[in-house]
Amino acid sequence: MTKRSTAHATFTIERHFPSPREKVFRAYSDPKSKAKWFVGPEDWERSDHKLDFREGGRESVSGGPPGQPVHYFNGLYQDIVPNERIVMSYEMHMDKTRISVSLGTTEFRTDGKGTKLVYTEQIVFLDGHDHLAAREEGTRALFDNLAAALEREAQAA
Amino acid sequence: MTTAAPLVRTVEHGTIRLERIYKAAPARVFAAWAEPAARARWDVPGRWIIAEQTFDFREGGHEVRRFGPRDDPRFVAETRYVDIVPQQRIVYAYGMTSRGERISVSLTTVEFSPSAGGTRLVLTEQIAFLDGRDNAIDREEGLSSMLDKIGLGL
Repeated sequence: MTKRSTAHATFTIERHFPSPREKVFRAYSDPKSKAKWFVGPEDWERSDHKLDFREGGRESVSGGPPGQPVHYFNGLYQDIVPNERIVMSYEMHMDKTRISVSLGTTEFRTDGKGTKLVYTEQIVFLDGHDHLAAREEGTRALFDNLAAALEREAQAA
Repeated sequence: MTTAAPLVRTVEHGTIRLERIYKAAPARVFAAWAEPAARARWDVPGRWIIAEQTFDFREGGHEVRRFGPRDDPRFVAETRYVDIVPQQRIVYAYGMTSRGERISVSLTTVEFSPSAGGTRLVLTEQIAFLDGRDNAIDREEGLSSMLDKIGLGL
């Protein structure tokens, strides 16, 4: 019998974006917009990003460094309040192994002319695949991608 | 004439951890989740009733349960199983509504391990309480009463 274990954790990231929250929310709700920033580093091989943005809808994407294990993200939208809140559950796999299950809450608040985004992730890491620091770092990198995508959009307007 | 105040959206995050020792083998305690008849005996807090319940216990499975006080079963829980390791672990996410308004979303981990001829159960629930409609104290009381019912059933 394989020895099973779990490790529970929570982290919160706050970011300010100069764009109004309708624009920031749209970067989550619109499949084309989300595919621009919800991706791993440049050199990663990646699959098609699939997004069905509605309560009960799913999102999935996979990718990874060439020749390395594939990271697979499989999420489910639990609660959506337009321009205000998104709650989703998701699981992460490394190749065939499920390494974690998370509940992610994203809150969008007006902050001057821009938006304050508060992201809280509650996680259970499975069977010793405890990568809290890496998960938090990876999530911060996604918000850097989002900031760059919003800036490109503002400049194009 | 009154005008409803605009709803202020809030989220409170919490984690509840409960532990029980049961005088039954892990296979029998695990069956409290895995077997419909066993689950129907405890899967509702205190003296509330289950008005409707579907059963789909497998990874990716989706269940709906309507429950509450006998004269007002206003709560609906929608569960999706993510990770199931027989006799060892269950991880599931569920959202709960009251009269159609979502009050919380949870990620629940249940772990079973052998302990002195019986079973040690650890339930960890990571929760986002939405718009002030529920709280950790009430949720813990509800979950605790359910785990006690499992013990009585065994």
